[in-house]
Amino acid sequence: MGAHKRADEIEWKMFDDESLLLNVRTGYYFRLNAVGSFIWSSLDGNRSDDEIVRLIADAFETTSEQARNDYRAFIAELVEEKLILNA
Amino acid sequence: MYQHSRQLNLLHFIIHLHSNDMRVLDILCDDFIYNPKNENDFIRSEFNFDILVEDDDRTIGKPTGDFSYAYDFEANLLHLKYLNGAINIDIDYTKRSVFAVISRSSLSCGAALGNWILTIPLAEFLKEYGMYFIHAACLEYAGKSVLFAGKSGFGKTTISLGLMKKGWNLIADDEVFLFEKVAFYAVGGPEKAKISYKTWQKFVDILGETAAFPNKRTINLSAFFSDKMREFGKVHSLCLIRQGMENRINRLKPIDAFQRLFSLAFLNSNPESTRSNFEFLANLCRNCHCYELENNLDFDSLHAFLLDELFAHPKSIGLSSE
Repeated sequence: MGAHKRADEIEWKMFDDESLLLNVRTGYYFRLNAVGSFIWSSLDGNRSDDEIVRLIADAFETTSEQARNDYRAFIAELVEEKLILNA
Repeated sequence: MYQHSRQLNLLHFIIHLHSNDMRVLDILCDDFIYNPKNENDFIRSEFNFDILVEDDDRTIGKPTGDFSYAYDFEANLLHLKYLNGAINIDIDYTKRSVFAVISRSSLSCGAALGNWILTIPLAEFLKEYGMYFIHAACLEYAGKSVLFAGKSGFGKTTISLGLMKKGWNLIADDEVFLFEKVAFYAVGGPEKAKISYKTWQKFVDILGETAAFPNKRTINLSAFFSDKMREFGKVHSLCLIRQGMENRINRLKPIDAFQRLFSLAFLNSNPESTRSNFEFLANLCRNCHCYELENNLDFDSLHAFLLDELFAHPKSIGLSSE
């Protein structure tokens, strides 16, 4: 895995542990749960995917394998919706 | 091309209206009543609205909510279309002007033209000045204001009239401009209400008797309630109105309120406008008490509940809570 960063046209707001994302070009918006919001806020382009997986495993007290699988699935959705780019 | 022109002073902004037909200007200026107290105050900016009325052979009955829009990123233009193309409006963000082409038949829509031709385009320009438009009623009690946001037909006017009977003052019945200056404030839009005959019948005691009428009638609220109108107020709470026959009010998490409010207020347009709108409404929901409200004319309980919330004197009330 490499690294990813949030696309410039995405505006986002955290509310407690959830967040709402808006694509300001298309008008589509997305709501993320606590894990999704944690990952989203970590996607600053400076952290590698491996590093974020370790952070997820620590924060949510899960195995590295589970964290990696969840992360991959989530990243695939974000890429599909053009919400993130390769860093 | 434009033989006629008029000027409106709205919320410290001057709107120059130009048209080839005087009737549309009469409709916009007479039915679209903004608070005249602002006249001769300082003016922040001016905008030009050009309106071309074209002959057609359409028949338009009841004004409908059919509406489409598209933003042109290259030209920085927002195209709005209503009534199957009977009304076409281009908002030019660069020139800060509006060009509307409307069919003569659409003039029968009366006050609805004000919303389409004036409010929505104006709302786009005012975001640059930190003023954000939402479709909401706003009522004030002892210095604290509550926004009641909901789609047309969800009961904003009914709630306004019901709470005014309980001693509340009205800032707006349908259209509110919000801004943040340390706290959040609401400024009233037009001093008018679009009211159905059914709603009128519920408030005959304060509105007086009237013969049955179709669709909705526009009334000048300041003519009915001159002592109960307020120009602006500090926002304390936000109620998202849900349609239904029950009387209930539930607290909403800020993110739930924001998601609902954003879907009501949202118009995808110039990216910077969209971004700032998103930011503003998120901050509003974070800083307000947010509720979901379903009301079926139980204004005693609603009044009691809101007073408890506004002034923090907890006690049991008649409204059920989930």
